[in-house]
Amino acid sequence: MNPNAYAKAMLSLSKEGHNTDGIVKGLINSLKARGALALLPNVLRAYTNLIARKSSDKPVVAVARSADAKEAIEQSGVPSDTEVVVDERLIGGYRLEQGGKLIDNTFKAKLLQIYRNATKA
Amino acid sequence: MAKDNSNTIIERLKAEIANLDTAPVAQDVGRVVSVGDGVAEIDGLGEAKMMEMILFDDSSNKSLEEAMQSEGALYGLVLNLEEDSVKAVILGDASRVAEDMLARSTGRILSVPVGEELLGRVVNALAEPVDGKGVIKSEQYNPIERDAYSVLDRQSVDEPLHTGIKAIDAMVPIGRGQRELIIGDRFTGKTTIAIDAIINQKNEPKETRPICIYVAIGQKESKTARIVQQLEESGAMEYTVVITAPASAPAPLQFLAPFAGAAIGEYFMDSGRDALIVYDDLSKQAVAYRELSLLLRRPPGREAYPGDIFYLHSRLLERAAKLNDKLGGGSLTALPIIETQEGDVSAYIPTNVISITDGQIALDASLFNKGLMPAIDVGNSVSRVGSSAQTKAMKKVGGSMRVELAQFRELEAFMQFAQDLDEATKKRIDSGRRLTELLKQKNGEPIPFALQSLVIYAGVNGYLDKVPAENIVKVERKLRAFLTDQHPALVATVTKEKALSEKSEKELKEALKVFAEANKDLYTTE
Repeated sequence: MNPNAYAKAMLSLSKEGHNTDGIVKGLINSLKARGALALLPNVLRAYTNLIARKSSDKPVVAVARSADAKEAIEQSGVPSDTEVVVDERLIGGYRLEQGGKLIDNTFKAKLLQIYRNATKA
Repeated sequence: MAKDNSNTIIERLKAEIANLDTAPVAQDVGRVVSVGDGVAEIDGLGEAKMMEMILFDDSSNKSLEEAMQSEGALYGLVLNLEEDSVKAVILGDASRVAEDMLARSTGRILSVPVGEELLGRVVNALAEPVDGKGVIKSEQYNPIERDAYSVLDRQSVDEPLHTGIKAIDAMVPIGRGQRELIIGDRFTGKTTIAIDAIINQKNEPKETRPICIYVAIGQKESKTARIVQQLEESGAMEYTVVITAPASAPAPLQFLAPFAGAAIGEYFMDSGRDALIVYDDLSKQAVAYRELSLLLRRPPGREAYPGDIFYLHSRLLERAAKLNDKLGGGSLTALPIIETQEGDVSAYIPTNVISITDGQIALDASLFNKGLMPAIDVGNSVSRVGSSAQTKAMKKVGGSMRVELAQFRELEAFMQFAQDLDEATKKRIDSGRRLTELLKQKNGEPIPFALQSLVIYAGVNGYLDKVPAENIVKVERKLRAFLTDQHPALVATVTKEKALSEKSEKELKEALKVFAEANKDLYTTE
């Protein structure tokens, strides 16, 4: 069986408020009963990935200098406690990424756009 | 001069800056979570559509300078939509895609440039030029996946598409808008038939000449180069587009190439013209699709092919059509090729494609080894709709040929055991031998249909009965030259009328008598 399916089942049980120990014991018993205990590391890896994916739904603002953070948060309209990442390669402006959406308002992106349009055959 | 150039660049930059849209726009993006074997799994892209092109943005992890130096855009094609992620095949150098790379949605369904600009060009599965003749400046793009025309948009196939091959045009005729499969083992002349059919379109009047598209899938590049050279030498490249997805190309490109070809062919069909497309070959496309499906973790079925392998070929071949007059009356004729193993036509992919197409030209390795070329197995070859598109001239002369040849093949097998044969049987066998010889044809030498019908007339009406079988090929060649040189008006009339009128028949009979008289040495003396 697909480790992702076990991982998803674990996550939904956890969301429903089931006891973590009980979920893990249940998983091990189920895998044992099916003779698929070797799948356990893969299931745990899939679970970790799933948790990481869910946490990526939180907004992240990237700026070129830490001094730009306040203005970027104001402009992008996200809560003031939003995670801010500093990346000098952005040159200026800000980039907001949240749940599969991206607003790229960086100088780097604009300059790259000008360069590509100008050098297009 | 240098100053002029820098002024131009400055002006261009100024214009770009003036037109730059600085308003923040939300884009649908995802992050690559895994990549391998040309397939990337992307987290996010919640609004991605099936067959949508996505852009792998390798600039996101690079500085501006590095991003400016990076190679051209790298696209992927969405083929699996899953609960939290999408799986896309990488259309290019997969080594450029890395984990955590940003993938942007383009909102565009995979399309290829179409139009007149493609004629005479050799392109890849994305219709990008690979012949070193510069960029293709096409203004129109057609999606590579499109619903086939509905029943009401079509009309029945009623116009012939001559291949220039006597055995096919006489016994397995193909109509414009038909799908005729060419099936056979390796090295039996499948590609040769298709290429001859393309070259023969040169004999058609320019205004009704079909545009030809040759799609090479999983072929050796040397073979494709040889075909392009042959087409160029015969002057056929001017109305032909060659699409190549060689054996060295990634599986996604081999899977896409026929669809790209269909999109290009549809452009000509939609503009009211006729087009001919050759898929060489669909067995290799099926193998590429199997590889792709297994990498996408789709459940395997028979012979590990995915469950939708039939749909893959049916939706492709269904795009061949003869449109009704309201839609311009254009047509797209498809000649798919399937390679069999040890003549096994009952294997999975051959039976699938046989059931989709409107007939098949079966090639037999044993006939090929006997030197009977084209090695068409008349018994197993059939054209379901072509006879209604056959010209009157060909119908008149070739009508009885099929039955006669089938009877000959049966008698030939019987003859190996029988000692004494009656006169009638002997006569039938002799006639069969002569007919078989008459249908022999060198590759790369398609014959215009009018000449075909005239020489076949001579064969089936007893005018070659006194020619020994071993001389038939020589006599046929001489007869064609004689008719072309001495009776051009007769050939022109049959070409124009597409029929053998009483007057033409009379003239032909006279001509055949004169020819026999002049070539007594090739006839028996008795």
